[in-house]
Amino acid sequence: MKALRLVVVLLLICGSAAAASPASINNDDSCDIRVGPAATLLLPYFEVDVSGTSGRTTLFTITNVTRYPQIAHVTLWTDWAYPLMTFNLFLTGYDVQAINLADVLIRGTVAPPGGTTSATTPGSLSTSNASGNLRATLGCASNPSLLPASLTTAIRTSLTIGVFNPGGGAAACSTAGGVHANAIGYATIDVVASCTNLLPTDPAYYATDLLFDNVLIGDYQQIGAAPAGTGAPTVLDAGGNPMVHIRAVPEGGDVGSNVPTDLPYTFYDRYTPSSARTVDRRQPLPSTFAARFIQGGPAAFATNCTIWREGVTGAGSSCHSYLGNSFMPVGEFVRFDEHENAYVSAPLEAFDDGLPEFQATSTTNTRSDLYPKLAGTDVGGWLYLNLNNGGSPLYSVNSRVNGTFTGPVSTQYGTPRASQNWVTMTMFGNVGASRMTAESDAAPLGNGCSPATPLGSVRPIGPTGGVFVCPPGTTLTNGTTTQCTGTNAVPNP
Amino acid sequence: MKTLRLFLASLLLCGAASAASPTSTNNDDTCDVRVGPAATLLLPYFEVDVNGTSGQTTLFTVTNVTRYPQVAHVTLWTDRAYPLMTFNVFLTGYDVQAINLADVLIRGVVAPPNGTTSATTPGALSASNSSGNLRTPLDCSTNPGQIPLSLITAIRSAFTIGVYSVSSCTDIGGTHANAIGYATIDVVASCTARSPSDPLYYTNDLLFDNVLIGDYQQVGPHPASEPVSAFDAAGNPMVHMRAVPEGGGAGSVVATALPYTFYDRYTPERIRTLDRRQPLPSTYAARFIQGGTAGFSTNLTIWREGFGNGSCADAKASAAMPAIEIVRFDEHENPFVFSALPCTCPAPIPTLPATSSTASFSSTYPALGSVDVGGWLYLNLSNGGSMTYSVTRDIGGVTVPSNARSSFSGPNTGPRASQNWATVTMFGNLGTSHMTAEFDAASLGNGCTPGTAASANVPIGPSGGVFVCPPGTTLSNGTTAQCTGTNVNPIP
Repeated sequence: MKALRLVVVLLLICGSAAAASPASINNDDSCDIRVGPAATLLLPYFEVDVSGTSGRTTLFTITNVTRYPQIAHVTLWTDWAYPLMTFNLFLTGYDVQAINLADVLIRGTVAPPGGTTSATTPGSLSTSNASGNLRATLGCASNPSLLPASLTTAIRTSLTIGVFNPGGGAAACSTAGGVHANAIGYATIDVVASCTNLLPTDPAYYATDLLFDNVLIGDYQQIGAAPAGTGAPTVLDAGGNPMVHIRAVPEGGDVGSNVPTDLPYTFYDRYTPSSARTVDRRQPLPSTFAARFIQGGPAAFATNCTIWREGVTGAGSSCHSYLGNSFMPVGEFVRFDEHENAYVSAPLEAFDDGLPEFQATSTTNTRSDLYPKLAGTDVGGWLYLNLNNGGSPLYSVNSRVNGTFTGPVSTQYGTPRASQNWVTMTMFGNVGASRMTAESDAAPLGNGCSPATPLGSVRPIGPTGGVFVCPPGTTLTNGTTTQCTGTNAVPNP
Repeated sequence: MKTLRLFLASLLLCGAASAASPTSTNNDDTCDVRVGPAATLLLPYFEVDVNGTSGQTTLFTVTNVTRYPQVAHVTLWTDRAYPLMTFNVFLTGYDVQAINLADVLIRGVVAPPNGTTSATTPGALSASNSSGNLRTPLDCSTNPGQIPLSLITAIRSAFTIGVYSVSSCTDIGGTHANAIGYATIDVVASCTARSPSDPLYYTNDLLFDNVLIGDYQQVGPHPASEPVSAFDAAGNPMVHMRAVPEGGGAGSVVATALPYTFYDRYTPERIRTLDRRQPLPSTYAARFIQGGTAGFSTNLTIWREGFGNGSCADAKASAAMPAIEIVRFDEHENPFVFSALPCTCPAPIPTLPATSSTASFSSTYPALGSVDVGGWLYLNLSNGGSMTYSVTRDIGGVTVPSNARSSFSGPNTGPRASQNWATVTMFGNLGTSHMTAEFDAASLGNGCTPGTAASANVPIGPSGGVFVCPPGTTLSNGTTAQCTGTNVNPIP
């Protein structure tokens, strides 16, 4: 009996220690997305004038911050999340590699003039190209520097009119993306073990190629960014921003390592094998954001809201199903002006439920009909964006039932699994010959592990989990706890 | 004996459970600094032409993302970390307030025309101005709209030539034509006049609610050491530092697992982590472009934790703080470091003040010795420590402050690196088109990461090293010989 009491006391101590000291101080040990070495980079939006007349393009740069060689596997997706093409970049230790998507989409070259290769001589602080976490047979001899013209043409048409027909017996798709003069889409960059041609939509990619080392950083520049809906840019001013740095948690191991993670679901969730839904271990992205805007006034303020969204297609989805990624609903938009007046979306006849619908990636002007109208004379404020698309049967929720992960489970608004999103804001202004083109991330109101946020009519808009959060034994400044209704604890789905 | 075995088994069970599941999925529960609702915002650098002739200025905007009112307490510091002035911004629920620092430093007015006030009518979705976590009385009636001219003149002098007549201080800031410094914005319980350098600020004023977001625009940024040619502007989020754990009233003493905090050197001696603010990292990877036909150039804007706790002498000491190491990599992975001088002297150690914006081609950084027009810089910005920093040690389960100074010497620089933040502003020109893109440099660890030794001892890379291999895994070659990395940050 004495022994039992001792065990109970010890277990209580163990439990209370965890409760009293909840923060993880470790590196790469949270659901928060920060700018730092990562295993996957997301370029949430690109836009290239494939006619080459305006010069508008997107550049991105990848840096390997370790002394060991790495392979960065780039996948270009349409704005309806159709995976079009992949290419690999061999990075020696401490390498930095810039990619101009105009080179790829217009001139059909990757990293001109000769592509990237493991034959590159490493720097004096870098290790041998045969070291590190790469496979013995790299398969990088076929890294393209020049793409076949027929493939480049097919990619251009899919990124501009949504028709992908590469020929050569490959599957064609006429509903791969939207119709727009410029090529629009997004890109993912993963650290992999060898130069692979597999797409992230292929479950085999996770068993044979994907690595888990947080070693890459990246940024991008939009050349010729202009307020959306205003036609071609008159100048080629540029803005830039870090890519979205998605870490593997926990980090490391060989390809195919199926290491347990506490992430409730992952960035590549809808593509992962049914038997190992969190096998990619990539941090998921949040669903609610606070995004500042400026618009109107004598300085011609304008703001583009660039939104990346998780689609509803998965591994092996039919061509036709990609239409579903072209009009995904949102949970809720509310606009606050500088006087805290709140504006909600007026019902839009074009949409079934009166709310706007967005594709997998887009950039839109905050003065457009997609956002609640600004009714006052203010020229700024902020937007609350609940971008949850309502879920998909292809999403896993990894419900923990008696300690065992189960799923997938279909979701609706308010259930644990929100869809993943990312938002950046690009602000424009003009004073004479001077201009502002400033792009920055919007502020997520929770992290990617946070449960889906109910509508503002059910729970007030604010940080995920609500306010105020009061640690045990504390009160608010007025000595009461009645408003202590918030929590930062994220329950397992 | 049976009891002992049971005891040991229980301890093992306890340890195994925490080892197998280390990740926190909770909100606001990490040392990672991300963009999201926070309790303190850092504007790492501002620059204002106080003559008003060029129009160069810095604007920042603070947004309250909750329905409850908040008081944002703004402190302006010199580029040598001397706290010069504070003012409060009352934010109703869901309020957004922009501050043009030219208004403050030239025209002597905060939030013109009349400042902010709790008499503002809240929006339809906002709670009453008397609700939330604020004190009664608020004392916000003295929120300044207009600042006395004599004070503004003294502040301008401090920001431009480092002379502050109010406190009879000299050398509290550098000498430059424009006013240069940084700002902190804290959520507080009432409109206080205290500075964060006052220990009473932490026991009476500071709150712990992660409720503010903010961004800034630099109007008229230009390559450092070159004249302003246009008033182009760039922008970026401020640095969002969360209170971990969040919440409680002013003066709440709550345990935190943070080994030290953002305001560490100012906190009361007996409770060094009282502010609970996330600390900032010390090592960064920062991209640069410079030269070429498009006139590329890059400014590196670097905020650094100063020495001391806010006195005039501390500001002088923070004028040229050393950094452990800067290495430049070009596009061909060639590393460049500072060359040893022609004598037998050691290579120079770079020094920077508490905040600065310098061109990547300047002598602050190792010269680019190739024809490449880009690459990246490895910045180990730890300043070597200060006796006023705590290194909060965990002794016998009790957290106690220790003024152990970290040191450059030896392979281990000690547990407590100094805090820093770095942003990159890239410039380019093509005819009449301009690029002015500012964004955060990538931090290679988080603020709880131990100090990183010089690369002669530890290869440059993510903090903790590579490769990290979870238990039971190998690298792709089937071995674990290179599995020498870890993401575990030991408690100092």
